[in-house]
This record gives sequence, structure tokens and C-alpha cells, in this order.
Amino acid sequence: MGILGKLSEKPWVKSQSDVDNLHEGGTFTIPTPWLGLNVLFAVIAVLFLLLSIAYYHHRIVHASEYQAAAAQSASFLDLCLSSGPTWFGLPKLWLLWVNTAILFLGSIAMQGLQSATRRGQADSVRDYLLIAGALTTAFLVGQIVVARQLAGLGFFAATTPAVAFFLIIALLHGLHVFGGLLPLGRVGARLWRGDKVADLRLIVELCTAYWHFLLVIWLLLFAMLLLT
Amino acid sequence: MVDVTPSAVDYVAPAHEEDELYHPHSFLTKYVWSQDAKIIAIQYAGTATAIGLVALVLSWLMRLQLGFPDTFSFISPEAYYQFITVHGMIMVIYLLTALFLGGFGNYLIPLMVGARDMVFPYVNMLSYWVYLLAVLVLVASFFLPGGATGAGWTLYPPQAILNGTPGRDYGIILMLVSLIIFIIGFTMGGLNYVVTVLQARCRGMTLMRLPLSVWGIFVATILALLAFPALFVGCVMMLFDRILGTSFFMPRIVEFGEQLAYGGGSPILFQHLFWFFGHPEVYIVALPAFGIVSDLISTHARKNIFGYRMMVWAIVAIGGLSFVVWAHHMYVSGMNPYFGFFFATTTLIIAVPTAIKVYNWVLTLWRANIHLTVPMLFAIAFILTFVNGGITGLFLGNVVVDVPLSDTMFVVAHFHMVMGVAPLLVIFGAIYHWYPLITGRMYNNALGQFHFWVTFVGAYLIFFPMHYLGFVGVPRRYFEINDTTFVPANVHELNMFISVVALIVGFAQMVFLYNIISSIWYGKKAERNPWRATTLEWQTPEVPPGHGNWGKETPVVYRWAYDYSVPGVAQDYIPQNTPPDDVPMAKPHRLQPA
Repeated sequence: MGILGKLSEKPWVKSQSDVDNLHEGGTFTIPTPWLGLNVLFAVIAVLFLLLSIAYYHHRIVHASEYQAAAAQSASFLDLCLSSGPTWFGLPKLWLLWVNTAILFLGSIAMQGLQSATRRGQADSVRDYLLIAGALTTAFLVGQIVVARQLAGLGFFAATTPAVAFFLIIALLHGLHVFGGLLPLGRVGARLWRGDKVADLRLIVELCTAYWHFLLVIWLLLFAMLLLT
Repeated sequence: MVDVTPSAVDYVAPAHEEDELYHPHSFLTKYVWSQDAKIIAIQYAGTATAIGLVALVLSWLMRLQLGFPDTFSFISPEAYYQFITVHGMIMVIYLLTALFLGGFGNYLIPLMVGARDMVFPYVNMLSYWVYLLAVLVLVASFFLPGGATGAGWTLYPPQAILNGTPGRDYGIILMLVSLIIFIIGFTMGGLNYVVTVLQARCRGMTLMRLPLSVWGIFVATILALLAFPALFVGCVMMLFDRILGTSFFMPRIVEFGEQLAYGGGSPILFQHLFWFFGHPEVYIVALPAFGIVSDLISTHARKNIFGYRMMVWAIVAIGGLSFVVWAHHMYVSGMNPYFGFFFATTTLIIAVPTAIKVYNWVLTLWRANIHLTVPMLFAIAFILTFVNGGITGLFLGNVVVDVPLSDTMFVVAHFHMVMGVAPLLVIFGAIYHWYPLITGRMYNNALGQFHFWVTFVGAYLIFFPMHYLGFVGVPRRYFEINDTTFVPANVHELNMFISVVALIVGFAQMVFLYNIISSIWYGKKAERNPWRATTLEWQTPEVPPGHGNWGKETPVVYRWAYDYSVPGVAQDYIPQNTPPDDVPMAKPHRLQPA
């Protein structure tokens, strides 16, 4: 029964009451932790959606400056450094592509971890866990290096709005990725303690979904930053 | 009669409850690092009350300045703006939101849905401690050089981070950090409230058998989960502007004759982000109040709530509509006239489900067996106050009326009535109502009545005249108005009167605190279900409810939450968990022969 059907029930009517008395409780058939994770996904998605809207708003406000800059033969960077904050597209740094690839590989490793956990192969679980953890950490370090590279090239957050947006998006995304490392670390600790692989199945599946979700979020944000 | 068949989608196999329930083993894990939602609720309520008292004192200081200007040398213009800002932020976020969702949400949801606890108790515990950290960071801003921010509770840039605004150095940073921490903590709690309502209900508890208190808290939590990210994004971006010198919200600007490095940012963007959170926030506070007051009225009027389904629909509709009215706070910021038309229209539309709720409360009271207990007095006072505040909201929702009234004391009077006094009346009513359950004792009724009458009458004496002040053009957020030519002389006398009443009403809250604290030890022992309520929280084997709430087995629900004064039944209420065969029937009356 859909939500509209549920909302039109008349709980005081006897025929409805007889039906309701058979109800076992919960609303959805998916396990509770999965529902919690889906709610969290919705909150995170709204967060990044609002950031993206702010980005496009800024982009529109700066559209005229951008066109004026594009019409000049002078370097955009010179222009923005000489006349204050001016719209300037995100520089095409190769390291950003590498970081994206690392995050993608991290997601694949998590998928491998999930498969190994389902099969109950403790050795594979340990290997995939280490690979996924290392790749994710490498991604975070890579993002920090990108920020430093941008500063080294003269693209400061204060002078180039696109870089400012990149920093804020990378920071918030990175914090979410870092947050994911905490339960993944817990998986490692439990494995080290000798817990059965089967007992780790739920938390590994949740972590894997979280990794895939953050990968999709990053791909969308990265595309937005690159294409505008 | 409706014909409904059970659906496979509705079925969820019951969890192995005892395996999942957390059991504390020491004093620290039982009362400090507690994962029991009832203890967490009390922790939330205690912290919210403590920080609320700070906000109360700040309001006294503001009223002293407005009523008696040039009298108190320790209230400087800078301090006045700091008082305004922190008072507003504490009241809206750290008191009302925290108390309704963290306090009542934690206490009532598991008990009312028949669960043993929240579904993620560890995360729930973290939620409180993160909230406490947010409160401490906010308070710390008073003690740093420059003091707390004086940017106004809306924190509008560019002035919020420019020189000349009090607390520009550290105050604004700590305020933004505190809000960010609060939102992280709330998200942890909010996940629990939503998922617990959806998944942890006991057998027989369908969504449409839920008490309206749970519906209000549930929908308000969904709003908060979707609206707080807007404030989060705004805070992080402004923090970047303040610390890293970015220009998300900062236009090209000259400060004290000097061109600043900022440029190209949009202050209006912050306003949109703020009010995209800010208007749902009104309903984040109001919806739990709507739900709770419905239960108070029904219980103390011994009558089923009028139009239960419509009440649920109205809560859901208000929740949805609250996301498309935000820009009515920004009419004077400048916008396309069609936008103004759109937002004025949506603002009027949201009044429809809200009015339905008011009619239904009144119709519930119609020919009911009304018991004028202290909770009931507060509930009735809420209806009156909410109608008053709501009607002035219709004034301000219209662009042509809003523009001249904007930034006057009329606006201050409006929002204090509708989202200050009205929800607080519900909070007081709810505390008196559930006090016997939480403590096992009754409060002192005489002190409760005193508290009600002083608060209710006093609130009207404070905020009714403020509408007049707004009409004659007295601006809000002014340290002093002195002999401004367009302000009549009686404004000063009225300000003095309001300030005296505000002090009296404030002291009446001390009586309330004395009552609820002293009654823990000296109050009369409460009966098991003193209000003869139907809802599950009153049907626990122990009062106050023990760890795990329900003893060996969770309850089974056989009816909706509003079986009051059912014809033919011996008593005037049937608890939700009373099986149909156990309902005591009244003896049939026999007509005496003439």
C-alpha cells in the first residue's frame, strides 16, 4: 500500500481496526540500518545540492565578468589578480584526475571487500580492507596536494571564486570520506580482534554503499567544476 | 467503513529486542554517557533550559535598556546588539529546536510507539554530547576578546564579518562553528527519530494509530534534516569568507574609506540559504507543538481529537509547503515582483492547513468534558496565542503590507507571539502533563496555576503593545530611539511598561523552575496514569518507565490513540493496548416504571 493509501486509513473504524491489529510494526521491509543510511544519503545529497546551487548562482552573477575576461587576450589570472575576485574556471590539474581515479579504485576495492565478506574469505577481506583504506587515504592526501598546488600557482581562494568553491566542496566531500574511514577502521579492528567475517557483513555492506554514494557525489561535483 | 487488506509491504519481522538493547553497567554509563533515550531526553531538556535561562537574562538586559535608556552604564550599544543576537539564536535553535526534538522527541517517541529505545542508541548519545559542545562553544564566545557576535540572529553578511560589528574578531567565528556543530549533532539525533518512528513501532501500531505528538515530531525532524543543510552550507561559506578571505557573500565594499579585498559575492545568496532553513525552522518548532497540543487537548477534554486524518494531512502539508515560502522574509531585500507574488501566495496557502488545525482543536473542545488542569490551560492559551500570531503573519506575508512594517517592532511582536510564546506555552503544558510520568510525582498545582496566569497574561501585556509600537514606526534592533520626531511620547512610557512586565514574567519562570525541581522530592506521589490517558507511554509496567520501557514484552496495540468517552464503555478512556475483549462495558440503564 502506498503512502497515500496509508494516510487515508480510518483507524477508528472497526474493519480497519481488525486489519491494523495484524500489523507487525515497521513500515519498510529493508533492515533498519539500511533505512538509516538512506536517510543519511538524503541529507548529504541535499547538502551538496545546495552547494551546487550556490555555485551556479555565483557563476551567473559573474557571467558578465567572465565574458569580459574571455574577450581579452590577457591571461585570466592576471585579470583577476589585478581587479579583485573575478570568475575564473577551475584550472585543469592532472592530479585531480588521478585523485578521481583513486576514489574510483577505492570504490572497486570496497566492492571486492563486500564480495569477499559475503563469501566468508577472511584473507581476501583483510587484503581488500587494506587496499580500500590505503586508496581512500591516498585520495584525501591527493586532495590536500591539489589545494597546495593551486595556491602555488597563484590561484588563491580569496581571488578566484571557482577555486574557493573547489576548496569548500573538496573539504566537505573529504570530511565525509574521512567519516567513512571510521566505521571501516572499526571493521579492521574487529577483524584483528578475531570476529567472524560473517558478523561483519552488514557493516561492510553499509560502508560499501557509502563509498559508492560518495564516489557518485564526487563525480557529479567534479564534472560541474570542470565543465563550467 | 473502509475495506483495507493487509499488505506484504507493511510486514516487518520483529527484531530480537533483547539482543539489541544496550544495558548500562555503571553509574557513568547509566546517567552520564547514557544510551537510554529517556536519560538523553532529560540531558537535552536540562541543557536547553540552562541555556534558555541565559537567553532570558539577555532579554531582561535588552528590556532594561529599551525601558530605561541612559540608566544602565554597563549596557553599551555593542553589548545590546550582542544580547539581541545571542538571545535570538539561543531561543530558536538551542532552546526550542533542542527541547522539542531532542527533549520531547527522545522521551516520547520510543514510549509512544511502543519501542524499547531509539534504533541507534549510541549515535543518539553522541547527538546529545555534540549538542552540549555546540552550546559551550556559543557561550565561550562571550569570553573571548570582542565578545559574542552582534550581527543579529540572522547573521546577514556583509556586516556580520566587517569591522564595526561587535564580535567581528572571534564572536562570529564561534557562532558559525557552534551552529555547524549543532547541525552535526542534530543530524545524528534526527536519523534516530525518523527511523525509530518508521521501523521500531510495536505490534498493531500502524502509522495512522500514532498519536499526533509523534506525527508532529516525525515530520518536523524530516524538515530539519532537509533544511539544516542550508544553514550548514551558509555557515561554512561565511566561515571561509571570514577566515580565508573568500567572497561568497561579500560584494565589492568600502570600509571606513578603504577598499576591501572582497568583491563579487552575493549577500542575497546568504539570505536565501538562511531563510531556506529559517522558514522551515518555524515549523520545526511549530509542528511538534501542534502535535503535542492536540494530545493535551484530547486528553484533558476527554474527547477524541476532531478530524484525526485531517490533522495528519495538515501536518504533512504544512511540512511540504514550508519549503516554498522562505522568500517572504526577504521582500525588502529586493526581488522580481513575480517572485514576491509567488511567495505571498504560498504564504497564504500554508495558512489553510494551519487554519484546519485550529478549527479542529476548537471543535475538539466543543461540548467536551473540559478539565481546566494546568496542562489544559497552557494548551488553550496556545490556541489563542497561535491564532493571534498567525493573523499578524498574514499581514506580513503580503508584500505591500510587509514593506512598511518590515524592521519595526510589529515584526518583533508577530514572531514572538507565533514562534516564541506559542511554542513555549506548549512546552510548559507538556512538561506539566508528562511530569508525573517522568518523575513519578505531581507538581504543586497552585504554583502551576500561578505560573500559567502570570505567563499568559504577562506575555500579552508585553507583546500586544509592541504591535502598536510597530504601527507608529518604532524600529527594531535600535539601541535607543531618544527623541526621534515621528515617535510619540507615549512610546517611551509603553516601553517602560513592557520592560516591567517582562521582568515580572521572567521571575514567574523561576517559580516554574522551583516547582518542577522541588516537586521531585516534595511532590505528591503520582498515580500510575493520573490524566487517564490512552497513549502507550502511560501504560508502562513501571512509573517512571524503567530501562527498556516495557518489562519482558513490548505492548500490542489494538486501537488508535483517541478512544475517549466511547459510548457504552464503563470508563471514559480505553488505553491503546487494551484488547477488545478486556474493555469494561457500562451496565445498561434500566428505565424505572412510572
